[in-house]
Amino acid sequence: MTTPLFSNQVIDSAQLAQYQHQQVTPLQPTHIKANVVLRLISTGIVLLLLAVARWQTISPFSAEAQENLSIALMVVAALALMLNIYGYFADKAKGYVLRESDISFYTGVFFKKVVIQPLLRLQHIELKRGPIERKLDLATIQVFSAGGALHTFELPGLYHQDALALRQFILAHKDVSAHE
Amino acid sequence: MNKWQRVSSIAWLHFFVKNLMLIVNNAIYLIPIIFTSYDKILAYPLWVAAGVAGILSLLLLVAFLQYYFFKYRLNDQNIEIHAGVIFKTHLDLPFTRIQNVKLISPVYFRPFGYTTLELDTAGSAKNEANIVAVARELAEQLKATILSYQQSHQAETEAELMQSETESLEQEQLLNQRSLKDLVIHGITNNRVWIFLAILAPMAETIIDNVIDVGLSLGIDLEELFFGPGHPWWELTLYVVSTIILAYIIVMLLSVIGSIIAFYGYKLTRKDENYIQRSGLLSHHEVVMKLSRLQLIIRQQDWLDVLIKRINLKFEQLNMISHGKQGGLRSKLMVPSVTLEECSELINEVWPLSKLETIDYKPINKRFMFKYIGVIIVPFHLLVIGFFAFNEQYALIPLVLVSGALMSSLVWARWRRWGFNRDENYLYIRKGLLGVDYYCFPINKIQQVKFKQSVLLRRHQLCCVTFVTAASSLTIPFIDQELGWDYLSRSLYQVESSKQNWM
Repeated sequence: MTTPLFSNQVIDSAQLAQYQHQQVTPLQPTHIKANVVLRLISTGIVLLLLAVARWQTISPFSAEAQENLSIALMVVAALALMLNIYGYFADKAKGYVLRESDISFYTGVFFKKVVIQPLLRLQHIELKRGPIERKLDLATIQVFSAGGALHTFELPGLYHQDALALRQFILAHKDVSAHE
Repeated sequence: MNKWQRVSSIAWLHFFVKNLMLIVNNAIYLIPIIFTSYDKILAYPLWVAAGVAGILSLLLLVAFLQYYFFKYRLNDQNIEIHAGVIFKTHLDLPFTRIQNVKLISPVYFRPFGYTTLELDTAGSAKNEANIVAVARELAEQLKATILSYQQSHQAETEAELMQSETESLEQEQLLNQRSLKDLVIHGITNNRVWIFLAILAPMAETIIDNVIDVGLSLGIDLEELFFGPGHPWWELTLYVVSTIILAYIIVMLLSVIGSIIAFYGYKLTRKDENYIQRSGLLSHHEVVMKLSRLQLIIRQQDWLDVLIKRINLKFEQLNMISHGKQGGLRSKLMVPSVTLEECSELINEVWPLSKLETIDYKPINKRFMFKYIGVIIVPFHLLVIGFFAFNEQYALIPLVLVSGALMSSLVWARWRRWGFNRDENYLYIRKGLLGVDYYCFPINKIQQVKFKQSVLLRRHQLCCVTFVTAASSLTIPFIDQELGWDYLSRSLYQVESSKQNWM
């Protein structure tokens, strides 16, 4: 194809899609809850291991090592607390918007980020489900563009049905099929 | 043509060399072991010889098997390749998915007139296809078949089809070639040492060992040279300075050699919609790019280039690295060290509508400087000053101030280079530090866009916007939030409403 000849109408930017004022669909509460529990469990295990190492009496460490372990325990506990709080709000901040010809993914508590993927430029789309997601009837959608691996993004926390419908919608989209 | 066929039997040479290189590359880690157990190895020369012979014959056998199992078949619209001895692969590649056809003639194929046909695809590394060892004419013929198929199947209207048919009668038209002088300039202004190093890499450690040995045998002891007693400080400084200059000259010399190896006989031609780059001293490289595959033009100048008014003009296609493939300089289309006029001519030839060199670039917000100077440079230097003051080393404080000023001026230089603009068809970005790079890509080829904003940026209503194309992703930092959204939504509107193909 040669470089296109262009139609050049004047466009009023107020009439264009207002990506900054979109109604964002948040992730499923089940997914957020599951993440909270998972984070609590995994940080809990680390803390527990440290605590066991600190106070076990089978073969006690030297006093100095025990003191260091206590400090480590406090640092890890503080980090774990922050991770749990931040993780919750980070999940809360995530969301997506599906429009006629593009899909936007919103993330970020301190660093807001919006990725907008025109459906026309989708290479393919994949449904991913881990064991926990299968249990909770959730799914993650992975979106691939020709921009390459660095710019692949994931939409987690969708109900399996919704994810299937979303994939169906995207695959059946005239732009995507026209592209193939 | 649609029967399964083997490549020329000379292919075993290719497989043999490839496997041998693989082993040599991995055996580098063995060199210290061999070195330390040198005496023991010498004690059993027969065993060593038998071992080497065994490995070589095994390699020969494997190479033969690889050749034996390598078959390909060309159909009307796709190419199939069967390969693999233990792990078999079957590749089915439609012509329309082929991004790029390259002919590579390694040194060991050239006396026999054979070449390797490399087919790049848009997919991942798994789909890469090579047809090794085909006769030169056959390879050209295959390439022509694939390209002409693509041409006839991608021309969308009949008019375009007819046009391309009449055009294909055209001869290749020479657009640019580089003389030896240009390549020397290119070697000096651009560090091409690595091309040289890449060739030497398998032998690197042996070379370094030998250099040290030679140095020792000549009675040069570096420790004695630099830190021995009886050398006044100026003598030492002289040593250091002259060593650095010497090293610099050697590096530059190697870089010039590297540049000549990579770009010797450089020619850029155009045939129909295809741009063809041919170059190389040891192995000829040919890169073919269809005009519609071009994603991004980069007009690149290092600081030395700015001084002597030369430009590296890059034509970027699909980014191979982000698709998990070996990319490298040689698979790219780049016209090395062109003059200003040649550069304008080439840009005009490829994308006549592009205003890369003429458009006014808008500056980014000055807060860009505050961020780097205020958040990183100043606090860091204050810390260092505090440290020196605490240790009462006041003499060092001016040095810190100089360093702070220098770094701040670099940030200023960086800010000054940043620029962006757009017109109906293209987006333009300028950046650099001492050198300057201009980027230009069609808005229609955007794959994805991103909007980013930190807490600090939000307070000042600023943002960063990123445009992802198949060639790379480009970010404009620190622009007004409204302007950023305007750029994004207009670009998206253009992509989504015009529905043009990006390939």
